Amino acid sequence: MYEHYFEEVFRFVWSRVKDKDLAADLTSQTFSKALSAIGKYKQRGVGLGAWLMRIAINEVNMHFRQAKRRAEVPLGPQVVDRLLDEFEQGNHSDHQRQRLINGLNALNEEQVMLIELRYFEGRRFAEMGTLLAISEDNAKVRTYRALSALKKAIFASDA
Amino acid sequence: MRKFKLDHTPPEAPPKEDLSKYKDFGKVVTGYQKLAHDIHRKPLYKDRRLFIFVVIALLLLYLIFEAERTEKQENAPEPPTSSQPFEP
Repeated sequence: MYEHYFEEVFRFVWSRVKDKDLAADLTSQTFSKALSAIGKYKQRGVGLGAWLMRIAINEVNMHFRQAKRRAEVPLGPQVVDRLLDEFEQGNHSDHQRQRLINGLNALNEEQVMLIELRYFEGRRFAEMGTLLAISEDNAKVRTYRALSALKKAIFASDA
Repeated sequence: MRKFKLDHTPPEAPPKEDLSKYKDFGKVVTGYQKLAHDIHRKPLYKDRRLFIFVVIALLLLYLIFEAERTEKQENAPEPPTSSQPFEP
């Protein structure tokens, strides 16, 4: 399990924390938790990979909750532009990117997670549903709500 | 909570060859052992024998303390009564 899924889990965690050592620690914790809970794992249409990712998501969220200071996660312009294209097509300025980042910082953790999975990682709604233990339709509805909350937050930061 | 920031040179994902550097199964096992130890540690109220033993020990301590207190009270000299006249 460790050999097979290490890379997938490590990259998933790294994409959120952007720190290799921290990603290694959180990946180890994910596998330790998986090992201790392997008896509870039942294959009900959820693959082992998705189950591990759920644990990884919890570990990352717990890390950010426990962090005393607000951890800063750098985002490249290409990643931000992919999300900006949802609102307006064309070339984007740094001002527009900063507005979007301010909007992202105003969202809650669940909304950020949905936007990351959908627009930064390009996952399908079915896959998102599996990862977040919700239905595909629910994933779709929540993502669009998160997107409209982001839109509101962007315009609120403008005002 | 985390905060995003715009970075024109964001850190790059580690290449596949570098990943083995971060692989440490020993760490996973240590983490697992710690977790397993925590899981198997029974809380006091769930271990009936230990719980009864602690309750009896506390009860005995209380009874010994009470017995000692009453014995002290019985052996203490009686204070002089205030009705007796004072003789210089």
